[in-house]
Amino acid sequence: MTKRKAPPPRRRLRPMHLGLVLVSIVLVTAVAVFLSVRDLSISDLFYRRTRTGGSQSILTAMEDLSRLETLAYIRRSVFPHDYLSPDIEMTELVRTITRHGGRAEEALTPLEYAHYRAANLASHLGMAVRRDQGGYVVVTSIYRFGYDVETLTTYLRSTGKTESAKTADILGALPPGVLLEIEIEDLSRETYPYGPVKIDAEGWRRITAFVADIGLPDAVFTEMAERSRDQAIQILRRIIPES
Amino acid sequence: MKKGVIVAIMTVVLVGTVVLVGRYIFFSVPPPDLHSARSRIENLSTLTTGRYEYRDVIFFGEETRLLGIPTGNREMLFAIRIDVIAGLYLADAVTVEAGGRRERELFVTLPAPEIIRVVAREDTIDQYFARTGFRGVDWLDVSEEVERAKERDRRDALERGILDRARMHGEFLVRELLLAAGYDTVHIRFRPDEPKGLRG
Repeated sequence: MTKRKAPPPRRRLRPMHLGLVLVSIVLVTAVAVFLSVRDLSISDLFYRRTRTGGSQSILTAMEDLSRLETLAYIRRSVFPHDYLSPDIEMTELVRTITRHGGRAEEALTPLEYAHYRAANLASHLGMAVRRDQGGYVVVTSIYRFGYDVETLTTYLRSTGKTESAKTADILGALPPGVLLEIEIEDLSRETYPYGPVKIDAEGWRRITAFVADIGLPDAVFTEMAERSRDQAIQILRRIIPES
Repeated sequence: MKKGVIVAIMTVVLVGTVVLVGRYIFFSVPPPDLHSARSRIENLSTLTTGRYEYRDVIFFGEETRLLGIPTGNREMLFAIRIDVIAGLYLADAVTVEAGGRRERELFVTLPAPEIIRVVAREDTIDQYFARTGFRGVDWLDVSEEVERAKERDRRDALERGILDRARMHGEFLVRELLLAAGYDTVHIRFRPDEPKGLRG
């Protein structure tokens, strides 16, 4: 004869359990209402980043320009790496400057002086101070070459008033173009694939001022000025018919 | 059993934290190789004839919270000059016809003036304050505010008639050039094209 097992005793819902369930329901509802009112997701409860920004502007000047832009030389440089020479030691530079009474610009060669300034600025901004270190920003500078139109009209008046003068002859002796402006391209996520740029507004101002101040090598500058002239001749020949 | 799971989770969290902090401190990203795109040259045919200058005051703020507790607050306020530059793209549909009744007379058709570019002048940045915290500010985040300011200034310049001013001065400059080149009478008209928007 088999002995029947007695059924386990039915658990009764205790008031404490009921309380926990009710508290849970209230908590979940409160969180859901909070999230929907604030337009948040569940992950925002754990980590949330709120960004605010704004700007206002005033018009400060309206100006007529008279520039014929004929060439843009666009150059990318890595600050500070492009300005740090691998075979220059800062300690040696400091010694040289000290020997010359503290005047860095006079004591150092242009290459050394660029290295010295770049390393100092990079150190101040928490970026690389040697070429094998990280911490950089890629700066795109746009050098626009061309002519002030007044210069062109003066040139044409001085050379082209004679009836027999051919346009090609007149323009042949046009002087090389000049540097009209240096523009630093604004950074944006769409066009800057080189990682974060951990600097503030003042840091960005100082880096771009440094890059603009170093400028172009003389040979490149001369070549761009000549090419600018060639392009100006093309434009003027299109506008001024052959006489 | 439960104790073992907790120890395993704590170990993973600890190792993960050490790896992340170590990566941040000891290993940094090398600079990019720009050999292929270090420089390039573009021919231009642009007559810039008008500029409106704006002074923009820009605020950037960012707050981070972990489990509802504030963990970082970064703010920056600075002023910058933004230039809206207008003019004529001379590569576009310039026609010049000699003739008419007089011998040294020209009929010139020029393209409609356009906004050539909107430029934020970095050399004019005037920073009032920057609270950048431990992580620092990513300038790429701030530059989104600069881009918004540039777009607003572009629209404002259009409303204030920068294109009319660019047209008038452009006409004056082209006439002066052709008179200087020996022509006695120059007739200038502009194509009625709608502006094509920002190119540069």
